[in-house]
Amino acid sequence: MHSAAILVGSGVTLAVLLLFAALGELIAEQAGTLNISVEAMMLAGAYAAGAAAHAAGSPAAGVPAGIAAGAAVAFVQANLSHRARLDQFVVGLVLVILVQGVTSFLIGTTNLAAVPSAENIRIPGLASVPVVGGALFNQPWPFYAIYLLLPAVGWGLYRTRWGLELRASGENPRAARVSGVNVGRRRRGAIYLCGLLSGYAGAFLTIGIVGAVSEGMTAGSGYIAIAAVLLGGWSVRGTVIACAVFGAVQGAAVALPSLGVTVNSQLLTAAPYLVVLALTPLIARRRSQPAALGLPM
Amino acid sequence: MRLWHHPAGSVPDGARAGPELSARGLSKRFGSVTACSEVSLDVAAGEIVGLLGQNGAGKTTLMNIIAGVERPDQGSVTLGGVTLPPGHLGAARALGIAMVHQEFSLIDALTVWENVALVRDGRLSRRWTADRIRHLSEAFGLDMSVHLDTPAGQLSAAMRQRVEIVKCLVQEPRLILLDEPTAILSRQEASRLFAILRRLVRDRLASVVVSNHRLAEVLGSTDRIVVLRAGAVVADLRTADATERELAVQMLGSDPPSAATEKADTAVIVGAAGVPAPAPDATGESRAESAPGAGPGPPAGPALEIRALRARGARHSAALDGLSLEVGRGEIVGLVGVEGNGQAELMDILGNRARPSSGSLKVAGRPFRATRGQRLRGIGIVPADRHRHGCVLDMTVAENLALGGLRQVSYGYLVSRARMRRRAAALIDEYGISCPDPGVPLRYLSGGHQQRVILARELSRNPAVLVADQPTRGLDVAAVEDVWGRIRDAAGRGTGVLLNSSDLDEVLRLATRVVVIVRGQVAGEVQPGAVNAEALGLLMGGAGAQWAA
Amino acid sequence: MRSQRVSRVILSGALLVVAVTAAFLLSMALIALTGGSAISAASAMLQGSVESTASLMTSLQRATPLLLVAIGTVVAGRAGLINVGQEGQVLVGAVAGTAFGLYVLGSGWPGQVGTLLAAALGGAVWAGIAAVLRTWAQVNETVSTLLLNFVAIQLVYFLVSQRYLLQAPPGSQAISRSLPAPDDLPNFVQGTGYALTSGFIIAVLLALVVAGLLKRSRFGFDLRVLGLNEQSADTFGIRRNRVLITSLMFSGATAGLAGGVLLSVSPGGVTPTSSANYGWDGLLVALVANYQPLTIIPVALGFGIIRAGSDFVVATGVNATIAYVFEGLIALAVLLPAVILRRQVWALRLAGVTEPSAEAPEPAQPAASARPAASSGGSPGVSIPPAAAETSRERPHA
Repeated sequence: MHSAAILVGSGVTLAVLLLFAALGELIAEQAGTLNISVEAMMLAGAYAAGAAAHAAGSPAAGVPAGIAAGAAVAFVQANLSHRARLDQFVVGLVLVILVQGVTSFLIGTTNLAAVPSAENIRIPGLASVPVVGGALFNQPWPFYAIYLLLPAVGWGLYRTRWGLELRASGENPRAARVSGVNVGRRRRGAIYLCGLLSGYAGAFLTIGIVGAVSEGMTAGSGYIAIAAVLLGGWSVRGTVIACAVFGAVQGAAVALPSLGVTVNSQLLTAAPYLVVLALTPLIARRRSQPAALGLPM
Repeated sequence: MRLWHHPAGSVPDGARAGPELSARGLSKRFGSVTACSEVSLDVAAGEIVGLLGQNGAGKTTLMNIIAGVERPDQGSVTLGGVTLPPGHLGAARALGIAMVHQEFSLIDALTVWENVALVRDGRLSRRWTADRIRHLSEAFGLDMSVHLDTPAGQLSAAMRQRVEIVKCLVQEPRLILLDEPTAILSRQEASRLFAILRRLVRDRLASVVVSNHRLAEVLGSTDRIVVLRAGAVVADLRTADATERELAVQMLGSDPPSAATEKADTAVIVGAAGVPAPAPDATGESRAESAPGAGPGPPAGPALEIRALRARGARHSAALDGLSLEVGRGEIVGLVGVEGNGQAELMDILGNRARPSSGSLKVAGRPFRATRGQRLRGIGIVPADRHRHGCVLDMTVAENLALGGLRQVSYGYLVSRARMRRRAAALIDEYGISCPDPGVPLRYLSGGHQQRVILARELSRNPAVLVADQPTRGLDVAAVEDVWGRIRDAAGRGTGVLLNSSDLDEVLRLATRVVVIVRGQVAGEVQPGAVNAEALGLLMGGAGAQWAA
Repeated sequence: MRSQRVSRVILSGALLVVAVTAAFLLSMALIALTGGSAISAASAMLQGSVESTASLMTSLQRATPLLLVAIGTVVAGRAGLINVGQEGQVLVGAVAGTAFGLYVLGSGWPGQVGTLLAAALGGAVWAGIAAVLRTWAQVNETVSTLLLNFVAIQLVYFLVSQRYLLQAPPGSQAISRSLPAPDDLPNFVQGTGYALTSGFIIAVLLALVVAGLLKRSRFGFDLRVLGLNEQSADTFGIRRNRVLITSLMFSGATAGLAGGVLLSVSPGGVTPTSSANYGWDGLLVALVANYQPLTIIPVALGFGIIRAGSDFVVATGVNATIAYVFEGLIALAVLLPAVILRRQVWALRLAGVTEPSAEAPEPAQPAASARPAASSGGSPGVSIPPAAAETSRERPHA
């Protein structure tokens, strides 16, 4: 029982971490941009949060710093790709390399010893629900933002004019423009949101999960977020499910060894990626992909 | 009952002084090409103005400028006395200008109501949008009997246009611009559209500018006609004062080829310069007489033989349900049918884009191998969607002319640029393709010349059968003539032609035999001389025909 | 128009110099900020890359795997495929080459050739997974190649940590046994303390051959048609799947080959980090060079110089990761002039000065081109780039 709770708990934590970034990427992709720099946004957020928390001596300082760092990366990505019209892949790739380099360099040269961690908040009553209660309602406080974020994103994308224009921009930017939508603005806005959310995810990682800052700590989570959006068929619900799957696999990779189950560690680490590769052909239908995804306006 | 309200204090009525729309000195260049040259235009309140001109004359650009989609290099546009900020879509819309575009501006993945809602501002509400759609469609007799949650991509072309029109009307515009709206409509649908426009204008709800390159339609549906040629206004007159001949002269800038009277329902059959157009009966006989041994290879029966072809349809289209058809050498077989009865699927199969589920296909006696990879030898394909399926716009003219037949210009595995260039030069000459240099990307040629390139490429390989799918759609008079001539020439040389066209006049004019397709099967065959467009339309709509929504 | 083009080239060259200098200065600033000596770092950079024959050779040596990766990326890119899995493909290539050298054929030039071929094959197979996923399951190759990178790392990790596979004795580290020296590629140039592998020659030759074939071979044509207008492929009888799979696998093969070359260039066994960002940087080279097969040669050299210089800088005590900072900033620097230039071009174009057809691909940018107004409705005759600056599908063209 207890071990199940551990597994579920870590799985959910990782799933939600991923979900923050994945929701951001979902918004970006619904607007038609394939945003490779999510990894950079997360990493920048993670580092900035750690540095700020360390400097201020409090984990709460990490959150705004993480968000700001993510937004800064988003700023570059959005404006170079969708105002100056540079190839978004190139920009994204360059940003990833740059951010990896800069953060690694800073980590190597400065000493960020312990980073103050965020405390758990346990919601009484709900947290006592067997198996899932602990996982869903006994988490570090940055976790709980997901309960607001998830419905907000769903509502925003499908029930508001902003969401309609965003989706129009991702499906057929030319037609959208002729219908009066400012496609560039919607796309840039979507990327900014992605930056905010991914930066937050990075901050969550540092102060909520790891409690320290290390080189390349995001370990490709940004890319998994992209994969989650794909696997989820570009819908909110699908993204949640995909992140849950990944979270479960990653959680297992962490928890199983401590439970005495020996699985090849490389297999465990590779598992999330293999899962995507195996499941995508079955689940994600190409037709639900935003028609203009990856194509510049 | 007032259907909508105009900005306060500016209700148009007959007694209003001054024009509703006033465009002065509009000029626009794209690179070295002049799209509009000092165009000035007035539209009075409650008027329907027809913009007449060939493709490339500047109609679309002019309308885009007025609608605020494009920014003019010079000139100004005034609506109801208010000058529009140039190139500002939002401002134009706020002032009451709405446009129905030639290439539809609907978004496939969004539903009907979402598409309509996109043009408004304010809170998004399905209910409000649905109400509005219902209201407008009732008021104007637009057949919107489609579920509002249907993704726009699943609609037929005619329904899509209706959604476009509703989208336009929802904006309660004072000025409505329509860019070549009848290009894909049948005759009946075009009439319905004009009736709606009349209604709009009669109730003084809006003024209308319609661009068209079909003379007869323009004469029958407008109050005033403005003729554009090479970006400039060459004539501006009341419709009542205009004659077809004069308009044709203005449009073409010279004595038109005698068939310039368009695909009108005239009883006069004329021929293009230099190519006598035989009367239909004579065509049938002469074709039979000059029975070609002139086809490629030894004459071995029909050029194209289709037997019991079956295919699954996509979306709403009918499948092919045991279609059998033959095209003899030197014949021009016209395929007609209401949109959605299987023509698209047949064209996809012949165009190598889809595979039949059963049945047999033979070209010049050789069976069609149902592998997507190999281009079937002996078939020339002129697809309906020429930019998507027929050419590579970003490759040069010379390269496009060589595509599909690279072997002819290669030494073994390597392509010889020199040979390609020479071949291109020869074809450019023979087909009168106007391009400064074969090394220019195909993109920069006009539509008519792009089609010539495609035809040149296909015909130069001397195919046993030529499949021509909507070959003159969107082309101007001169280009249409040219295409018809080439098709006739090819038939004269022994190529069998399968012509799929939604333009009944074109079919009647060219074909030696007309085949009617209904619900994926051949429903009947007629002689072009024995029937006219109306009767054919009735046949197509016969019992069991599937009318597209 | 000629003078316009010349002045554009000069302008872009000048901007490039300015931008690269700025990137350089920024990196130095970063070093200084974290307590290092910017001056010594700067001089080390130059010393290590261009000051002497030795350093030049080292730069070329570093450029070799980059060039190889870029060649494959260009080929796939022309077909419209975005391969971002080169890092993994390099790694798998290195491991495959090692396995061959250790288990199959050991010595002499057959061993060398075999190692390289095995490496290429390894990379090709790795990319082939993504190719198959794309053709049979419509999985976007960007995502699949991306994810396969991480799988590759774990795979290699596994292979080099098992005694019974490739692990080197004494068996506690995740590193493979090294190939004996006679298996290494012979050096093209040899001097005291430096060498240039003959892999460099292979790379340059391959680049030239590919450049020629792209323009001239039938396959090259098919490739370009697929990249420019995929939907027309059927009309011309192009075997879509075959072309896609072949080009993607070729892309993997050259990356694998780069891995094979690395075996001779970097001494020691293979580890999960052996690919050392050569994959990513090679991809970057291709992107910066706008998928032009000839342009990648100088661009790869440029990145090679950066790498060689950075190695030297690290030797002065600066953290090794400075190399990535350099590369990122330089890449950014290369992109920015294109931004400014683009504005210029549009300004000229709107003034009706520039010929629309005289659109040489700007560095790192595909040229803007118009989407025709109608597909079946026939273009309005003026299908020239409208002022809305819309670009069609951004695939590089000849």
